[in-house]
Amino acid sequence: MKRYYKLISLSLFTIVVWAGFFIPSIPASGNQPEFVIKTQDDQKELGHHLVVSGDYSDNDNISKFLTISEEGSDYFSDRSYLSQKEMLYANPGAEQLIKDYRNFMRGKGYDLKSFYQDDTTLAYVEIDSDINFRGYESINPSFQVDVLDKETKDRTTFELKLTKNSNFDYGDILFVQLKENELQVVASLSSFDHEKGIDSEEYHLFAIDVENQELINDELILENEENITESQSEWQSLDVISAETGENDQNYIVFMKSVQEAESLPNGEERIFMKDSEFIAYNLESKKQSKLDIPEEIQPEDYDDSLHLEGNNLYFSKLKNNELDMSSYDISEQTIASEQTFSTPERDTEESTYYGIEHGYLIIAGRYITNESDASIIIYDPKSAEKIYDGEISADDKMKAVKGELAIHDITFTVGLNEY
Amino acid sequence: MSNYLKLVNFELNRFIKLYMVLIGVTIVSQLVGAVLVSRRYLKDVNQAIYEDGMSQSSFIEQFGQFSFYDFGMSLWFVGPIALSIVVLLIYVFFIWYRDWFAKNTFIYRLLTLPTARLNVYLSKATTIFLMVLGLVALQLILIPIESRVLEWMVPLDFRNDLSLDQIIEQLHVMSVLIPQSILQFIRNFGIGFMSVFIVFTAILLERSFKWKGILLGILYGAFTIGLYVLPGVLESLISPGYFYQSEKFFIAIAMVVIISSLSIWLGRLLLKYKVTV
Repeated sequence: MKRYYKLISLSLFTIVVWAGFFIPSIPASGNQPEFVIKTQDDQKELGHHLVVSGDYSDNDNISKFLTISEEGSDYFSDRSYLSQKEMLYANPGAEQLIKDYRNFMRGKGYDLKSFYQDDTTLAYVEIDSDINFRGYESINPSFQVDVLDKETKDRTTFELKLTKNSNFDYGDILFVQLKENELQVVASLSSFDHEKGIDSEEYHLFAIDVENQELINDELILENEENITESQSEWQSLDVISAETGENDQNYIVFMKSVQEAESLPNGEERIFMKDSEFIAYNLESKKQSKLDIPEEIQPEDYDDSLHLEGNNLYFSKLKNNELDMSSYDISEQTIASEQTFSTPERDTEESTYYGIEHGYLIIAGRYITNESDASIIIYDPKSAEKIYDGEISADDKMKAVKGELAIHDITFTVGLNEY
Repeated sequence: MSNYLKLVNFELNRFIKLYMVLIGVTIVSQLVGAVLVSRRYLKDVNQAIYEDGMSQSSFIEQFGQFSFYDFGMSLWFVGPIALSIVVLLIYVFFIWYRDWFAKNTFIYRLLTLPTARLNVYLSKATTIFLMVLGLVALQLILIPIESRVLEWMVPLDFRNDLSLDQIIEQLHVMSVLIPQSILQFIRNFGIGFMSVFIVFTAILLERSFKWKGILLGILYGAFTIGLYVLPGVLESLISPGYFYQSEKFFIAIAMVVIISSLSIWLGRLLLKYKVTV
C-alpha cells in the first residue's frame, strides 16, 4: 500500500475535488432572488397562464435571463446543459411545438411567422435556396412546404421552385395561413443592386394548392426601393403588421409605409420617430388592397409606439403622461371602432412601463423591479376597457439585500389560453 | 486488475517529478501573479487619484473595477496552464517513445511482463487522464484561494468579486477545462481522452510498421476524425437541422465511445501480434 501512496493521493484528491465541484450545494443562480407572480383568488385562471420574461442583474452587471410564473422563477443558468444548448428559452411557442410535434419540427426554423396552426392542421412554409459563390445571392430558390394532419398524423411535404421570382438575395416568410387546402403565404423578397446601391424589397402573396402541390398564384402587393449610397437623415421603411401566429383565421394583412428619422437625444441615445406613415390593408379573401385613412391624432409618432392587428381591428397605442391611449380602427368599416384610455402604474414613467396585446388582451406592467419596489401587472379587455386581471410580480428577501434590478422584456401567455 | 494498477502506479512514478514541477510552477506563478497584478492595478489607482487628482468614481468609470478576469487574462495565470498543456501533449508521445529510445529499451520488459499487453496500453492512458484531471482539480482549488488574495490586496470599492461560476464563464480557457455540468464534462473530456486513444494507436501503428506505419498512423487519425464528423456531415447533406442539439450531443458521445473502443481494440491487436521488440 505504501508503494501506491502517490497514486492513491492523486486519485483521491482528483475525485474529491471534482465531486465537490459537481455536487451542487447552491444552484448556478446562486444568490439570485426568486420572483413570483401573485394573483388574486378570483383571477387564478388567467394568472395561471401568465409568463414574464426578463433579465436580472445585480452588482456584477451581468444579465441573467429568467422567466417568471405563478410557480416562481426559472433562471436560464439553472436549466440543464442540454436544455441550454437547445436555446429555446426565449421562444416558448417553438418550445411547445417541439414538445407536441417533435418529428414534424425536425429541420425547421423556429420563427413562428413561418407556421400556421389550427385544431386539425399544422403547416410550415420556408424559402430555401443555395447561396452563390459571391456569398450574398440566392440561387434556385424554392418553397419548402410541410403540412401535418394532427388527427391522422399524415404529412404532406413538397418543394416548389420559385421560377418567376428567383432574382433576390434574401427571402423571408412573414405570414402563413391555410384556408380550404390553400396556403396563403406573405413573403418579402429583398435584393441589393451593388452597382447602383439600391436596396429593393418586394412583398408578395403566394397561393399554394396543397393537394395538387402547385403554386397557383403570385401577386406583388407592395414594393420599396431605397438608394443607400446617398447620405440621408431619413429613410423609408416598409413593415408588416399581422396578428401573432395563432389559431384564428386572419382576413387582413396590414402594411405600414413610413418615413423615419433619427433624432439624437441629450443622453447620447438615438430616438427614431416617424415623420410620415401610410397604412395599406390587404384583404386575403377578396385579394384587394386599400389605403387606410387613419386619423392623424392616432397615427404613431415613435417607432416604438405599438401597433397590433386583431381580426378586423388595427390597434394603435401611445403612452403619454402616465396614461395609455388605445384606439382601434376597424379595417372593414374604415372607421375608428373605439378609443380607450388606460392608466399605467402610478410611479412608472413612459420608459418604465411595459405594455402589449396578447391573445386579444391588453397587458400593462411596470418594466423594472428593484429592491425598493415590486411591479404590478394589469390586464384589460381592450374592447370593453374592463380590468380583468390585477396582479403583481414580487421578489423574495434576497432582492432587498442586493442592489439588483429585474428588467421585463415580455409578458405572454402559455399555451392553453385559447381554451380560457 | 492488480497488474493494471501496478502498471499505472509505475507510469505515474516515472513522471511524478516533472508533474510536481508543473504543480509547483502553477501554484507559485498564479499566487505571485495575483499579488503582482493587483499591485499594478493599485499603483494605477494611486497615480490617478493622488497624483493626477482624479476622483475615485471617475477612475472606476474610466478604468473599471478590478476583478478576477483582469488577473485571469495575465500571463501569470494563463502561462502555467499553457505550459502544462504543452508538457502533457508532448508526454502523450513521450510515454511510449521513451520505452523504445531511452537508455534501456524498456519496452522489452513491459511487453514480456506476465500480464495482458492491453494493460500496458490502458495504464499509460490512465496515467495521462489522471494527470490532466489532477491539474484541473488543482486549478479548481487555486481559483478560490487566488480570489481571496485579490480580496486582501484590493479595497472593496475598487473590486468586483466574481463567483467561481462567473470566473469560469468569463475566462474562455477555464470554460473548456472546467465544464459546468457532468454532461459537459463527459463531452469535453470524452473528446480529449478519445484523442489520446487515437494518438496511442497511431503510435503503435508506427511502431508496428515503421515507415509505412507513419503513413498508416496519419491515415488512421484522419479516418477517426472523419468518422467523428460523419454524422454531422451526413445531416447537413441529407437533411440540415434534422437532429436537435440534445440528440447531437448523444450522437457525439456515441461516436466518442465507438472511436475509443475501436482505437483500444486496434491497439490491443497491434500489441499482441504486430509490435516487435
